[in-house]
Formats: sequence, C-alpha cells, structure tokens
Amino acid sequence: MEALFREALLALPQAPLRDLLRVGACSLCAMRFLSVRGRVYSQSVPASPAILAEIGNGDGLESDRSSASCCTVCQGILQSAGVGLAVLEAIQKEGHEFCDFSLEVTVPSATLVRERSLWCYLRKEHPEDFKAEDPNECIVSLKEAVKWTFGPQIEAALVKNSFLGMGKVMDKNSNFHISLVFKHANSSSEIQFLSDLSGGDSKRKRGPVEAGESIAAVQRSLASISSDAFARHYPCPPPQLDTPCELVSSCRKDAIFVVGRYLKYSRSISQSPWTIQEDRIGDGSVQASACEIIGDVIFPHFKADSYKFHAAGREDIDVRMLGSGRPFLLEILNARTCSKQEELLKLEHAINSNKDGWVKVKGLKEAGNEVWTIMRQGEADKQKEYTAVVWLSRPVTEADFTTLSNSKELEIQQKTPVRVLHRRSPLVRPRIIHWMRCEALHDSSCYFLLHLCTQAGTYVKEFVHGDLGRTYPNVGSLLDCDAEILCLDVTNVKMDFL
Amino acid sequence: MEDKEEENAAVLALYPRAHELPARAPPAHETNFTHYFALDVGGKEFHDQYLYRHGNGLCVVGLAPSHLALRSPSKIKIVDYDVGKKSRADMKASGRRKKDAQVLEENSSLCKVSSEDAEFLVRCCIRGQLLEVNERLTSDPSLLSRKVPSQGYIAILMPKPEAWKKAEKSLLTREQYKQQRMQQE
Repeated sequence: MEALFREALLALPQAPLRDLLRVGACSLCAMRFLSVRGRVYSQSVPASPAILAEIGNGDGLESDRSSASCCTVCQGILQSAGVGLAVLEAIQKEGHEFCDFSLEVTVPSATLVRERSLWCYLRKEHPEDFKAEDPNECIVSLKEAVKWTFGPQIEAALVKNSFLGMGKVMDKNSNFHISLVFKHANSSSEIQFLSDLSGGDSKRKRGPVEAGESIAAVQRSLASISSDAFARHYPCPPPQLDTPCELVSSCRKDAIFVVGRYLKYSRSISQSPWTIQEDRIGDGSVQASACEIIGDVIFPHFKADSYKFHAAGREDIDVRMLGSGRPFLLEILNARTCSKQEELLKLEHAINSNKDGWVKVKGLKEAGNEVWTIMRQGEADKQKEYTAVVWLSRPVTEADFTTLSNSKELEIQQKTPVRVLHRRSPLVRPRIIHWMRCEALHDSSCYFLLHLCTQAGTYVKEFVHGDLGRTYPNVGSLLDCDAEILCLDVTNVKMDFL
Repeated sequence: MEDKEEENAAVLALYPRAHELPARAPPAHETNFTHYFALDVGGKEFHDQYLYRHGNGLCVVGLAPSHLALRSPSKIKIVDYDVGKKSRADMKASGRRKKDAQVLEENSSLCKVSSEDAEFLVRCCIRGQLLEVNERLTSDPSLLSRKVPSQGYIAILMPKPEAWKKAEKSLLTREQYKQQRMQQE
C-alpha cells in the first residue's frame, strides 16, 4: 500500500472505518462517510480486505461482509469497471466533435435509502463521530464521488484514443455532456416502503407512477421520516445484494445558435411552414418557406438531431422583407460537428446564390445563450419601417404629400383587424405612426409610395385601408377619400446587436 | 447628391411601373371577403342585406345597395341597436375565445334603422356569436348610405362551421344577386 495513502488512512477515525468496511461498504463509500474529498478517489484505492488487514480487523462484530463482491451502499457503482470504454463507445456511436466535457450522473434512488440506513446504524454505534440527523450535511454525495472516481479515467480513455484528437478535460461548464446512468433492477421495490409510509407523494397528483421514484421525491420522503421510523421499516445497516448496478452511457451537445438577418423577396413565401388542415399554403410550385430555405442549407452542415427557427417578429406571406433584413436565429440541437466562421460564410454564400433568389441572409455567425435576451429586447418597444404602394380614389396631389409628412407621432386607435379577430381578443390598441414620407410612383396619378415608421405591433395594411373604419385615423380619413394598399414591404427592423 | 438619386432609383425599381398598376386597386373588403346577399330578409320586400364572409369565417353584416332604406329619398336619421330586451351595443365579448359573446339566431334582430317616414329592422341572417357592432352608426347614421360596402357595416358575427353551411344554402352569390336585382331595375 502506498505510503501516502497509508498515512491518510491512519488519520481517519479507526473504529468507524473498521465498522464501515465490516458491514459491507466499499472502501470508497467508507471514505465518503468519513468526509474524505478530492483526487484520492481516482487513484487505485485498495479494497476492503486489504485495508482491514492494514488497520486491524477488530472484534465484536457478528458478521464480516468486507469481502462481499458488491458494496451495500453504492450498489457497486464506485467499483464499476470499463467506464472509460463504455463512454468511448457512446461517443463513437454518435460521432461528436468536442473540446471538453461535463459529466452527468444518475444513480438509483435506492442508494439514498441505503445511505440513510447506514447513517442510522453509524449514529447508533458511534454517536461521537456522527452527530447530524441528516446524512447529506456530512457525507460526500454519491454523484460527486462518481465524478471524482471516473472523471480522470474518462479523460485518460479519451487521450488514448487519438481519433478524437488531443486530450479533453472534464469541465463543468462544458457544452458537451457525457451521461452515466446507473440502474438497478431492485431499486423500485426497495423504496416502495417510502411511498407507503408517507401515504403517497402528495405533490405529484398527476404523472406516471415512476415519479415517486425520482431522487428528489425520495429525498423529500426521507427528510420527513425520523430515524426511528426509518429503522422500523428498513434494515440498518443496509442488506447485502447479489447484483451490482448496470451502466448505460450516452452523450449530447448543448444547443448551438446560428444567428443572422434574412431578407425575403417573394410575395408567395411564408416565413415559416404554413398548413391549414393538411394543405400547404403557398403557390403550387413554391411550397418552401423562408425558414426551410435557410434551414435546409445550414442544418446538414452540423449533423444534428433537429433545428428550430426563431425570428424577431414576422411578416405576412405577401409582404417582402427588405432593407437590412430581419434578425433570426437557428437553434441547432445536438450538433455533432463544431462550426468555424469560414464555413458559415460559405453557407451564407450558398443561400444567397440560390437561383430562385427568394430568400437571402446576412451576417451569419455563431452565438451563445445570450441570443435569447437579444431577441427579446427587440419585441415591444422597437420601431419598424415600411413602404406601401397606396391607391387613392381620386388623383394624388402635393397637398396630400404635405399632409402626411407633416404628421409626426400620430396616435391611431386600431380595433383588432377582422382578419385576425377570430384568434385574438377584441380590443382597441393605441399605436403611434412616428413619421410618414411620400414619393411619387412612376407618373402614376392615383398611386404613390408611402414610407412610414410605426410602433411595434401596428397593423400597417389596416392603417392604409381603414379596415371598415375600425382603424382611425387612417390614410383615407387623413386625405378625405378612400385609400387602398396594393402591396407592402418591411424596410427596416431596428435591432442593435444582430 | 448623385448617390441619393441612385439610391432612390434603386428603391423605385423595386416597385411596379405605372402601366403595370391596375387602374383601380381592388378594395380590401373585396379582396379579403367573399360577398353574399340575402333578399327580402324577414319576409319584407327589398329588405336586402349583405353578408361578407372572411377567409377566417367571420361574417360582416350590412345593408345591401338595393335595400329600401338606401333607395328612398328620405335620409336615414337614426340607427338604434336597442332592440327590445337589451341593446346590442351593450355586448361584451372578451378574450381570445370571445367569452360572454351572445349567440344570435338567423332571424335575431341587430338594429333598427329609422328614416323620416319608415323604420327597418336589420337581422343577422346567420347563427353565430355577436363580436362587434358598428357604434359609429349611432353618432353618424349617414355612413350607412355614404359608405355602403365598407364603413357602413352593421355588425360582425362569428358563426360555427355548421351554422355557415346551413346559412349558405339560402344566400345569394354576388353574381346571383346582380342578376336578381338588376332585372328589376
């Protein structure tokens, strides 16, 4: 036995240590109960018999389970062999590229019960060393011990496998998660007595029956049971078991975000896929949507599970999105490859070279979780600029242009437009038209171009045609005639960062 | 200066040229709605009403151009939504699901239109929830005759699909309406 380890061993309280090993805890669990922390877990810790030989067996115990194959507390988890290999297999199956990893550990709820059982026994036998009522205040949690024990093992396995590149370290802030799920067949029957005792977990009225088995639920139940009541229903120290836990390893990457701005030049493409009762909306041959046109180019590049398209607002299918474009983000779930900026530039070029030219993108780049705050920031208080082709029921005059451009910060009252009244509350919403500017349109006598800047959430079409007089004032009322809108374009969506 | 002109030219190039523009822009109440008509509502001759149905199922109800009230020389004086037990203008539909919106029947009355010498009762023509009445008519009844197809609407109803199927059978399309009423010109 290593000299350092032997020294550390002798520094621990000997009687409890001996007892722990003799009732069937593995050496690592013994260390856990004696509040040992840190790197020592990943070094080769001798098994119980060797330690007992070193510190002396003691006497006065009826049975000695120290040579049993399976730890009665962690159910064999901390002795698992081949963890590195299992993780390697999981990673190679998915084919992830990553630079560091974090470990997520799931253990059967029965380990909590067994810990409590051992704790009750120790409090009875060694009251000076184990005072607290709740073991969680003093002992090292099993999940932490698993990370200390196997983290370095996994790092070593990844280094050896040169296919995955240079060494990857364990870092809790990593976006790549390796999950170790330990399962034991008897776990649910072992904790059954808890739900019988507490009369069923009252917090969970709905949900699957297994909900009562979650770590959190078991923790709640244990917290509400006194040691005496516990000892009446479960043997202390915990009983032996024949089979260890099984390990299932998997891995996944956090969502990555590709952001940019898009422009939509077609009046027959919707922003997102649009179906009404299984019929796809859109012109016969043009069944694409802006979201799909962009996603179909970017998504394959990441070899991911799926993607979601989010945009800062939306425009109608027959409205073009021009100018600087509308900010959007693509949430890419469980991407296998990492992206580089040059590749994103190539994807941007690929989208923009599409022969149909209906959708273009600008400023594609990768971003982190801050995207959500950035997107939200655009919603309620931003201004939007539009250009509309307006028709009047009488010839357009210079006086009309002056009337409209003299209107600054015009407040209008919009009743919920009829076209959305079936799915929105019937309300009257005050909105502001910040400014308007008119432009003659190619020698036309009854048409002109109206450029305007409005408060977010303004229905511009209704401001022009008046929506049966339910939006007031409207262009027709301002110019004392009938006005109609032929077409509309969004020319500017102001947002600072994207 | 030249850059600005170029920029303007570029913007204008995005828009249709004069010869590509229709002489008269189709009005919003024609493009977004399908027009139906009911003749002799309530059994009264020439009490013709229109029912504009939007693609989302909502129906806007109003007086058709051939309605007696609009053809007689005496002006419309009053539009009164108080039709007996309650005033239709007191209705409160709130929320996305239109809670508390009253369900009216095909022959429920919506309002009374009074001119100097006659009174006309306007009916729903379709079973559905009453979402809105046009209160502007109370203060400006002339809208009924000045802006027949748009701002002079009487009310907006939300029928269920089955109610629409039933009502559609007795309504006329625009073409049928023109034929029937034009003949009598």
